[in-house]
Amino acid sequence: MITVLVTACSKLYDNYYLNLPSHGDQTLVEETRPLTERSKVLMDGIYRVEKGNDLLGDTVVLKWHKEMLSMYGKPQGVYALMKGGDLDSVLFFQGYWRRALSDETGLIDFYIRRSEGGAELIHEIATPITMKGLYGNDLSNPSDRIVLSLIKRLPTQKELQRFGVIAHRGGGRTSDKLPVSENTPKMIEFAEYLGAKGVEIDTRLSKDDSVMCYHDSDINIRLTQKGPIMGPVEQYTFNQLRTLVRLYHGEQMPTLREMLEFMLHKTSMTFVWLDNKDAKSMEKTIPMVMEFNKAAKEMGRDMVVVIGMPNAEIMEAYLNHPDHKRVPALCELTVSDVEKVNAAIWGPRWTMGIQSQEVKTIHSQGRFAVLWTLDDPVFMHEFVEQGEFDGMLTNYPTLLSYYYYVKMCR
Amino acid sequence: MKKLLTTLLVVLFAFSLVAEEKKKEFDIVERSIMMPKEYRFKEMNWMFGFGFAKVPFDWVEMALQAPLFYLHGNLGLPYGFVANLDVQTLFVSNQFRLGLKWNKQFGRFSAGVGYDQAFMFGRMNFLGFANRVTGWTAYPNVSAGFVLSKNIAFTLNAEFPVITHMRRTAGEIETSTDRNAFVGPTVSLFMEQRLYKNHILILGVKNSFTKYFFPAWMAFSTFNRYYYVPELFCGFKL
Repeated sequence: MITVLVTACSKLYDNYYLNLPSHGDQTLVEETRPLTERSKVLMDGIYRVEKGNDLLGDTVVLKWHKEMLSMYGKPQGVYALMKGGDLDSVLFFQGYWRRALSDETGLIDFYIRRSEGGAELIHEIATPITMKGLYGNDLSNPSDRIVLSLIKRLPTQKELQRFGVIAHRGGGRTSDKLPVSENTPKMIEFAEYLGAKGVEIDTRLSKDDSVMCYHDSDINIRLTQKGPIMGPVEQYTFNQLRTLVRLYHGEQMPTLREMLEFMLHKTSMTFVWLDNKDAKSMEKTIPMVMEFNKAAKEMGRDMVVVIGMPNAEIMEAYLNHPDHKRVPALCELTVSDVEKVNAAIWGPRWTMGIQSQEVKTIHSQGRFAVLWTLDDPVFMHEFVEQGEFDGMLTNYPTLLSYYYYVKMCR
Repeated sequence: MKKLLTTLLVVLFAFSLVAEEKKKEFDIVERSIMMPKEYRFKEMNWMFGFGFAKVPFDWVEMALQAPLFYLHGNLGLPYGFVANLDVQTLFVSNQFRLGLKWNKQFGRFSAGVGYDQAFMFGRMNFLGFANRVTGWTAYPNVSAGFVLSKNIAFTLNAEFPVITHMRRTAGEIETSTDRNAFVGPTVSLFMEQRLYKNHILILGVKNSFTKYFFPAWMAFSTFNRYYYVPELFCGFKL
């Protein structure tokens, strides 16, 4: 009886679906005309929250990514994803907000009157901006007021100190209740809206040596829908994994090649960190990384793929490959291991602290330091303020983006 | 031979009389440590045990069962009050609890209400960690007991932990929060049964619906949602 109770209760908490609200047929977004890229750049900035502080805190960052207007705030990692544009007398945006650390969500609407910056924005003129709007909770209609006023525009890409907001598992974990599954092309596309400039993805070998993107060692109901196969990934061929496995939100398990193709041609990601779970995969991974880094260079794309080294076994497999010097490495072990491998990047665990001395040593050698995987909001803020890292891996790229842009705009 | 047999019979008969007397003397209420019973002034008892908790996969990304070692003692006070001390340790995670309860018995049933104040601390300086944590937690609690027979009793306990202060370090970075955070209730069921002589076996299951589980502090979980953390408990009162 106790076993039944335990099992039943645990099932209540394994649900990774979050019912995101939608304006449905009440949306006006389709009526809007898209803004120009210059107008979008003029909207990017830090805004003071005059009303709506309960939801958004004191300041938010607004940033356009392609057709999505993203808003990043601090309380519980709040963020909003909106679409919109010019709607005759106003600039109008609609979407949903969500707290990254919890399951709270709701609808959100914004407008900018012509007289409060809208007219100038349409004509690509820098101007003070006041955004007014409403938000609601869960599926209820927005009714609580928000007012934002522009404090400072974001620096240009050239002016910004280079810092990598790198999203874990392609953008976040399935357990973060995002609308797409981890380690998929859809997740990487979503990660751009969340402010990520780079991603970390996990690779595993199938039985017939296809390099697949999947985190856990086994097919399980945590990451996949219930299906006919369970157990170690390495027991199944590529065809079996593609045919018989559906990830949590229904996607097929992608190959590494598919992920890299997608990133190279369909995103503006600049950094890809491959977390190889199998030492044997180095035989296939290294040539692929060489191929894609070369392709990116030829296309004029600012994108680099690096091979991650989480343990000594993977490190040895990398060193034993004849072409290892032609692919950049990210070593998670000690500074002397970084030197042994001649890795371009040192990737320490955040729980070791800011390690100022070690980071200085790494920088003096012309290398970069990127720490993982930092999710705690309080520590994240301290590490951004006090650390000298060149990037951070996180499951909450919206929150890291917020802290980063606020620091850059000081 | 006759003398030896007679001696043996007398010894056996005397032993059976003593055993019968011991069996008659045993009373689970008298010997219980989990039940919210009324203690005599300065009456003391203690028990030791261990528990296995199943930490949520989302927090640690692997199947992890954490064994916790327990030491628990009660001291009877006047007017139905009892003081209790509770020590839980996983070596990298530790908690000390001091509390006060007021208990009342109603025949086979009993009930109690109490408040515990806990200090927890943890330290981990290996395997990629350079972290410490200290914190204070309040545990208001209620319990109910039921005596099934002379040898068996059940106790149902509910507690509602509130973390009032927490300090954490990562290397040279230190953070602290002072916020009364209710992390979720724990409901436990214990069975106490006579093992042999006056010794008691305690079996229990603790069900926490919680956002935070102190033995797993090093997971630094950020999920602001309730998780089910079951724990099986086995203890002995000798």
